[in-house]
Amino acid sequence: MEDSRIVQLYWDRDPRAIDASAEKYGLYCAAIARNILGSDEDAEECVNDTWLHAWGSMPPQRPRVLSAFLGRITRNLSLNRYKGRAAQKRGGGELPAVLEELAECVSGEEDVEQAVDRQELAKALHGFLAALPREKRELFICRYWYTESIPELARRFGMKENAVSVALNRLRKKLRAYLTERGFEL
Amino acid sequence: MTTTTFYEILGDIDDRYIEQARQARRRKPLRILWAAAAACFVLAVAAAAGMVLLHGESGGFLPVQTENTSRPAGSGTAGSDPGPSAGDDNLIGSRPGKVINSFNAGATASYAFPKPGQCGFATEVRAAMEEYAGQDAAFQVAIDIFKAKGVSLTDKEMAAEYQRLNDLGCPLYLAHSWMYVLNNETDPHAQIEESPYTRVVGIFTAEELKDFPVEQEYGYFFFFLTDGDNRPVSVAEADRVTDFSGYPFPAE
Repeated sequence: MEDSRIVQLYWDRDPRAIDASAEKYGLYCAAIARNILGSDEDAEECVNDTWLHAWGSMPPQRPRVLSAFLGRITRNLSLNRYKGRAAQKRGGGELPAVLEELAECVSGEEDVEQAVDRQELAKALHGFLAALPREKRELFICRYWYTESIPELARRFGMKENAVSVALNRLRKKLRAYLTERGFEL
Repeated sequence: MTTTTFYEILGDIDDRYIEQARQARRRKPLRILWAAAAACFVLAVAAAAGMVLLHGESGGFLPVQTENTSRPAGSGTAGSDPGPSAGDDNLIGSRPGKVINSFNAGATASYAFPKPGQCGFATEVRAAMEEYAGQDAAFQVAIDIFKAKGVSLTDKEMAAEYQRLNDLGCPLYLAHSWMYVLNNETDPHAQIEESPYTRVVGIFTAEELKDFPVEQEYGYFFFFLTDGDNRPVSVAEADRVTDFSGYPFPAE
């Protein structure tokens, strides 16, 4: 089913919207959740919650890229679940490793006096990604948005694991420099 | 800023980049591997457990690497709800029965390059062939053709190979599809656009696919063609192509 038709089903308050979403994007969302949580059971719950959140968001929203819209809901829900787990000191999927890498880009402390405008930072991240060669950008997004493991990335991109790590390391350094140049003190 | 907050904000990146990476995760294999021109890489098409098999010329089947992405609750059990999502009951030319142009296999796999003289099938195609075994059905598939070590054919070689297949009686059609692209790779304000392109597809029965008239120097990989939003692409008899001297054919 076309994305626009699935969105219309949501707008029509037709419960078939959820079946259609699950059919078309269930595996996609499950992979995102599993990467973050490392648990099929938790991932399944997050994916089911995704459809409920989508049901609550459409209308008023009418996403142009439904996959990204649903994937983002799953990512946020999974992150929230991870936070709850972290408080209980339970493990996660690939996320702990990803967060450790991202620690190179931020101070690691919340400073309310240096509160960063989230929208401005998102805009800067967009500028950074836009300036990257396409394959580098895709590698970065697969790691830091899709939370994919290094071995998985190596397989997908036809690279050795070490080469993936090196490439990501360079990208993080580049990102940090990019943000610092633009006045972001994270 | 904590790493968790930073990770959270990274989630706000533009939809088009997320979508572009998603499609790259599905289509990465061929592009990357062509560029690398390497021999033993694997390719990924989307986001399950299962086994993909390569059909050898000898009739043997070679298992290749797969990934486990079982379906979530509410969407059925992998392989249990596999019906075709489009293309049912299309009557094309002399092809009787159903023409299957998509299939939900509930699985994603990584594929090895088909070696010269061999054919490989995407998970969805193989699952559809199994589902419709013994039925009056044919499969509308696109074909990737490689030389040894995954090297792609030139346009001239592709034209010659399509012509050879046509002359052998293979029914080939021109499918019109589209993919998402950025209208300017380096512009932060670039827009995501639907970019049309054409692709030659063939309609074959399972038996014809299993006994495909391969050119011994080439390896063949069959898959269902989809648009950028995963919608299957259909062709009609009017799309039949018998003369490939004008290949590659421009998009409308």
